[in-house]
Amino acid sequence: MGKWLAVKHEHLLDEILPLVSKPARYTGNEWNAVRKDWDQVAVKVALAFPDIYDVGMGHLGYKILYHILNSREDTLAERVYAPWVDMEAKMREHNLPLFSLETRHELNRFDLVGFTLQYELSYTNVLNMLDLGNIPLLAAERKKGDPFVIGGGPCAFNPEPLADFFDLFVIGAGEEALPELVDLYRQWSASGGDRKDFLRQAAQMEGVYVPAFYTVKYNGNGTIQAVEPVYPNVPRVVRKRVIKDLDAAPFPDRFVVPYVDVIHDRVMLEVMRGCTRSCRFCQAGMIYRPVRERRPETLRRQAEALVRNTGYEEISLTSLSTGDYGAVEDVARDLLRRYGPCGVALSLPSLRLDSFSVNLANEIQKQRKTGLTFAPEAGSQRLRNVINKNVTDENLFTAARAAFAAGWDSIKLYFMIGLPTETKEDIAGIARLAQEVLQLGRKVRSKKSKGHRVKVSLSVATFVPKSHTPFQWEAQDSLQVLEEKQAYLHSLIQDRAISFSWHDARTSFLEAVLARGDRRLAAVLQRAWQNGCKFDSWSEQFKFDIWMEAFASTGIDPLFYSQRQRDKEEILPWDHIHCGVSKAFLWKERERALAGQVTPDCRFEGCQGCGVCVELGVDNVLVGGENRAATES
Amino acid sequence: MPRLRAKFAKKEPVRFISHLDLMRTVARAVRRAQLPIAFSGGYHPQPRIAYGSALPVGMTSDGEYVDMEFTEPLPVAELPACLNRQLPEGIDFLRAVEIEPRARSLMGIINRAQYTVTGQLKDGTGLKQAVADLLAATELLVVRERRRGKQQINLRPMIFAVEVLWENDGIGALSLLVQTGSAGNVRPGEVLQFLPFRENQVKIHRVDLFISQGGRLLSPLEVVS
Repeated sequence: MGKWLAVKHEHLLDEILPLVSKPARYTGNEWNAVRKDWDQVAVKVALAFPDIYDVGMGHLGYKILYHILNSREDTLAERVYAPWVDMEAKMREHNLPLFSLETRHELNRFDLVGFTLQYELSYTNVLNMLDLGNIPLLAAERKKGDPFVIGGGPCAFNPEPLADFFDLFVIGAGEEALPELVDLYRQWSASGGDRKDFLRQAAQMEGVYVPAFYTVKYNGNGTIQAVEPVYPNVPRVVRKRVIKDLDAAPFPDRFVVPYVDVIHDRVMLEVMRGCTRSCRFCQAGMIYRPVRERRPETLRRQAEALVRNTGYEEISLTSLSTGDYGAVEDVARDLLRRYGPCGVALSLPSLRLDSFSVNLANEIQKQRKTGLTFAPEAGSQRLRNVINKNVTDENLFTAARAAFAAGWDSIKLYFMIGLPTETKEDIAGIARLAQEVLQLGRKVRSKKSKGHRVKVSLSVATFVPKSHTPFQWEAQDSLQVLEEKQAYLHSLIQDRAISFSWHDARTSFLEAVLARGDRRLAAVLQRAWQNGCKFDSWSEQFKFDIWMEAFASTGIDPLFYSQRQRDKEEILPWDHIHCGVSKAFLWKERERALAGQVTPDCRFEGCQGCGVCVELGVDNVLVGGENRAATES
Repeated sequence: MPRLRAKFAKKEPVRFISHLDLMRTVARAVRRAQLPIAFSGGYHPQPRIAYGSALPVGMTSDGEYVDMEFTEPLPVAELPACLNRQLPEGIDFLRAVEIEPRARSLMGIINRAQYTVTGQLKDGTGLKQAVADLLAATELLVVRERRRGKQQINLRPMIFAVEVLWENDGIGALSLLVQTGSAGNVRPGEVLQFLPFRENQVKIHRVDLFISQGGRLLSPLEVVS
């Protein structure tokens, strides 16, 4: 059956591919892609990414899982991406189901289908891919022979809006949990049990959340009364999986090298996981604790293998805040020394705001100056203290001065509007800072008579309150207020050398609804998708009116999720998913935010009592390094 | 600095990659093979690899050419195998020769392309008749979009040979020799307007690229100085 389908695919694809944009997205056969003999392998896992190839290929998490699963003789892992709208139209027209890249097997032929949930606006793509893959959307309707659909990634920390569509979620790190699930699958498969048997056993695993085994009861006012396990041996609370020792953790020695241009098309070295700066809006900072740094020797080894096996022309050091990595200078210099002469460049995605970082950036980008980005996030010190972004105006100016002096002509600044306690003055502060950085740059660069070339690009996101953060109780500004704020900021930007980009507030609004949503949103999601919503994070595809119709017709008020201030005592839809940081700590942080009190980083100034180390039996793992000394001073 | 010229094929498994994709893929293969490739200067050093004509998405070829400049001597005869070991299925290096440092670039000398067009035929006029009509015509006009607007071009003087290879049961194939390059270029897709193939049911294959010199067709591997 499989072989016949493969032949059918070839013929149809030959007809269809010349008619779609970037057809090489769908043809696979890339260097380092792993093709195994389907019939010789016990467990087939599909790693599905709910966006197009060009986006999904950049995801490091899947590169790691691809490597781990394919290293097992009993397992194969293949990649599946969302077809772009033109390809999907052709596929539906010709009844061509969604298939994997490696061996072109239909999605529903796989035993386990994983979806990584990186952002809320990808949820309709998940439904769309299940539909294109001929897998029943509702977990309750899946039968023997249907795959188990597994969710992971950051959004799995509040997976409730998707609860009806997934058989299980893996909360936290997948490196160990996924192989354990594969082992479990093999045992179960041999035992001849039914789907529920598999799920009941899976629910016993640390970090595995089976939504069907919990019931949710609601109060009259719509808030949650209780989330309760259905069976006695199902845990009340699911704690995340965490990898304690990153040096020992498996990491690929090769990446699949695409033909077409995709995002992050380079060697990626994950220097560390976690961040304890405690910026209060940041979910990643809370859910990926503790900080675990990799030793420079490990990174050197990984770099050597990856460069050799991929032939990539660029290496990047990746993490939540690479500028904070203890040995960043040591590692960067070493990589430059080794690979610079062969024409391999080095890039740092995000920088800390001080001159030390800029000098480092200058060193590593002597050859190629890629963009420099700083993220002050808020326009006033008062508001920065509220969000705990430990950066002063002076930090920004010192760094900017150093950057311009080192030869950069343009700088990108990231800010957010809609933060709690925000005032008009705070917003005006954004424009003021951008203007001052521009003036500074002109002054510095005018010495080389390049003042006229200086540009500042201002990128302003919209605050979305997220689960597992000190701001998880906050109301998001209304759409009207957000748009007014954006317009206000825009009006303050006079200089042509400052470019201003912002997100459509309506997408931020939808994100806010889904990010703190509960199971009742499943109906909305399904209806929105049915009526044509997909690729919601792509501005030209976003269909706000259809979303609003979906809310109206299902009787769900989106403002209940986005614009409601929660009480301290309210049971939140994700309270039964634990990231290790205590709810009490988050509330305390909220209070400190409102009082404008700063919380230091536990890496440098002692434990702040978030609870993760005690709860999960872990610790920050730090390497030494010159950067450590500089940070502590 | 040795300059090598190589011939390669782009086959079915990579039919849908673009020319840019191809350039990226070969450059990475050169790195994986750890060949001493030379780099350009400036802010974004690029490997010194220069191609002949760009091959469009969807087209296969048995006759593509590329020049590579190296910083150290290397055994010419081994270059194809060395690269093939680092290339995915579908890109095949066939042969390499050394060219003089001052030899003209591929883009500057290549001026002929031979194609095979295979596909399903529309009902009605057969392929043989259509080809005869095409060759008998003095004007074969196509409209090209230019920056300043549309431009009408006569393809006929740039079509040097058209021959039916076979025709059978609603499918047929023909061979086409046309001009290519900056002095005048015929895209095989443009010639299809005058032929009875069903739309979207053709495959175009580039057989080879040539230099027309003194009435003869030379291979780029022969024109080394």
